[in-house]
Amino acid sequence: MKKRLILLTACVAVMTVVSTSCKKKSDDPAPSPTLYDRVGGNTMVADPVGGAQIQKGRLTLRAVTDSSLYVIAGDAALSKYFPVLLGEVGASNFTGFSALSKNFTDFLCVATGSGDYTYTGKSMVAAHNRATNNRMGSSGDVTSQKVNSADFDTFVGDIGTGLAKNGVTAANNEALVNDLVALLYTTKNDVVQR
Amino acid sequence: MKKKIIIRIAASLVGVTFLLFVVLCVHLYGIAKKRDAEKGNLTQLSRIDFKEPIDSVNALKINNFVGSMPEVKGTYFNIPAGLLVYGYAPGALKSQEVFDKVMNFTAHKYKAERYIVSPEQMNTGCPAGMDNSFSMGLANLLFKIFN
Repeated sequence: MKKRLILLTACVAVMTVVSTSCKKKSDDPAPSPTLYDRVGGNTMVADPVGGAQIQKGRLTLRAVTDSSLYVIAGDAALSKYFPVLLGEVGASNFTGFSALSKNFTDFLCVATGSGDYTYTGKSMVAAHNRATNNRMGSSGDVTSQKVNSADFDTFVGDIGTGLAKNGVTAANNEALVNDLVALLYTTKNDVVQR
Repeated sequence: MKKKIIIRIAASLVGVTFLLFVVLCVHLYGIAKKRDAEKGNLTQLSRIDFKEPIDSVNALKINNFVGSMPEVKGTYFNIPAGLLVYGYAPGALKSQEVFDKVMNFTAHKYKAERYIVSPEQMNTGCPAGMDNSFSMGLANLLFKIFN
């Protein structure tokens, strides 16, 4: 009888220890919001252009991308890397702008932490390496068609101008601008390959 | 007897091939439709390169003039470089006509030219949108047929 009581007590003690150690602490800090959350997250809103529902985070990133593409097209230092942006097509055809907008927006959605979108384009390394993208340097002037460090900095500056065209500046949201710029710079070593 | 078997096998192969082709078409149409989900982004960019300095006041005037055209979705004027970019739905405008209007906008005849991308340039740089594969061509064809 005594043995049984000891055994029962031991079982209760073990179960208590196990249950309390596995119990999630109620005062655990909430996970910090991702960059995607900070630019709108997955709240559904009406797309101001098409009218369909779209995630607010994606809408923000697409707006910044589109504004930046205008800036890049008007930047002689960069437009040489993006001839598809200004190549004219016929009515109702897909344009380089549309393709770049979708690809880059997808890339940003994934990079900022959205789990609802996928980026299906080439990796940053493959897209900027002549061995895996024969369009890179195919003008014959291989050196000028390879991205250098200054061009990359110009690119980030143009994205900054795109952000400003959407009302986000270092003056009014320094943390967000810094985090987005830092995110872009994580790709620098993949893009600059000389 | 042997002939009948061969005919049946051939008919089955043709049937299966046709069915697979239909599945491929539906799949590609789905891709094209998904790509069109954000319709607002079917945008064409064109650029006017000014070959003389444009001050900010005149740049603003030209920018607003082009931006006020109903078909124009957006503009960006790089004033130091004298480059005006404007966007519109493909086919909604002819860039030559916009250029002519800008040239006749004021009494001053600006030294400027349309920026035209050569076919050689189009084969360089970023590959986005330059998918000339059979599947992408078929996807675009199906998209046009059903829209």
